[in-house]
Amino acid sequence: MNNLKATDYSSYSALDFFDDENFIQYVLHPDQASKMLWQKVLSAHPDREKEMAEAESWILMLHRQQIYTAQNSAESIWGQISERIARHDHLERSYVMPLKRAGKWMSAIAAGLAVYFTIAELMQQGKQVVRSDYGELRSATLPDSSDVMLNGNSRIHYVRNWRSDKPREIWLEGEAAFAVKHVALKNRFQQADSFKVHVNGLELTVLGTKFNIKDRRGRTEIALLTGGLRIEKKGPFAFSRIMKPGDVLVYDGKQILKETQKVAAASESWTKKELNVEGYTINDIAEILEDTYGYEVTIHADDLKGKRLSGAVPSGSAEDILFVIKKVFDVKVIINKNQLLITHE
Amino acid sequence: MTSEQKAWDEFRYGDERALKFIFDAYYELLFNYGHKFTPDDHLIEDIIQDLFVKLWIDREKINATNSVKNYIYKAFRRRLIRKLDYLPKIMAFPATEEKIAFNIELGHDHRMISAERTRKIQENLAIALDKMTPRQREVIHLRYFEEMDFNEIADVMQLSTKATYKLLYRAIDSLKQHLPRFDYLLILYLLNLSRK
Repeated sequence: MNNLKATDYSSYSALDFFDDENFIQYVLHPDQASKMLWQKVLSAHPDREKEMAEAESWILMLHRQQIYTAQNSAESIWGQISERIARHDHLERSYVMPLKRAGKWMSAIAAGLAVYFTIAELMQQGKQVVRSDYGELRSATLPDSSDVMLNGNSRIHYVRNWRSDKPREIWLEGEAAFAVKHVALKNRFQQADSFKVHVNGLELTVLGTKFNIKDRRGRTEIALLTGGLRIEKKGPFAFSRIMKPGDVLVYDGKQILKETQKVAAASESWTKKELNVEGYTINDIAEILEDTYGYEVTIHADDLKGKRLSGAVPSGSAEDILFVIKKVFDVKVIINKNQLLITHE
Repeated sequence: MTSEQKAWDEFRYGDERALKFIFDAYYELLFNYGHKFTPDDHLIEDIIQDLFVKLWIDREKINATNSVKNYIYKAFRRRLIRKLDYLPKIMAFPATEEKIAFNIELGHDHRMISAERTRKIQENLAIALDKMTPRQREVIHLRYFEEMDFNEIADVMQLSTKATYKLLYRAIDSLKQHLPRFDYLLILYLLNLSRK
């Protein structure tokens, strides 16, 4: 405390006392020596009394904050910790340790092979695939009871056992409409509560949400109906975008653009066996007939290409769509197995 | 060697009772510290549970430490911040640790002067604290409530000592700007007296 003598207290403000390590020590843990010391400072600079008193108040007020106590007792929390510890130790003793010991008996190669096959088998077992044929609508319920509806010629796969401490992940090719269950508790959002869709090199992260993804010909169209969704591309040319309800975004494998012609709600009209064709051209229809219904379409009517449709078309089957096309564009459709020729009369 | 360090070493060699001893010493304090960041008791509880289970699982990899308190606080804070940070992050909002709240509720100083004056001082201090950033409030809390020194604060908050000094300096500077002038207060006080 020799440095005390060097300090000039004559112009010390309350804040200076408040910030003085020796003073803090004295306020919080006064002893004989420090009491005498600060008494001396005070008698040397009696005009500092208010400043000192104020600093002392601040320190005490900060130090004497009431301790917030939990509802659950330490005892009950420790009980849960102790249980988890016991479970861990049990698993370790009954499975991990014997495995380690067994490992010593096997040659390295044999052990490696065993691990390889086990993992391969586990991965096969765990992988769940849902696919739909051309023209077939297929709905599936995921392990977390989220709903997915697949449009024709589409495929999703995911790991069967979704553990609650991992994000739910799914891979998509084709077109699907999702209604994701919101599992996060209020104010307690964590990584495990998110739902991820992998499509065309993108990673979509979702919070309880309805959205439609159409991934055809390397072009991915994402329409968000409700909730929140983040699009992320990792690796080279990485980017990330936040979608708002009502947004329709299109990714062509290089960049992402906002689609202004289309309405988000229209994107999943196919789930109701209807196709909202607002803004579609005959080429768009042809692509749908190819991608979703499996036809090969040839159009001999260049003059129709610029024409845009509006309204909705029944899409329960390719015949339904073709019926409307014939009427609206006034064309003839010649069907030969899976070949379709659209031409003028 | 303190009894805590002894317990730490015993725990590292597989004594569960020693871990319980450490848990008992810090459960309340950790809960109190966590409550400054979030009102979500369940979340804090989960973090404390996870922390101690993880300590047990990793016990053979954990080193001796000369401050059990620092080790526990640092690990607890890191986990808590990670959880609280996740919600903004998932929606890619540019929020970080900066934005996570920290709330101080002042205690009382029954020791001095008039109740009126104490109340006034407390009110002013509360207002000035409110003007600080959450991390400035945290550094104040760790210094005056937890009585940590700079190195300890730097360790817990995962900052360099220099950055910690800067943070504290800014906190004090903020107090300077937002606390009403002492003289002014004094005059007010005297005026009040003369009126009575």
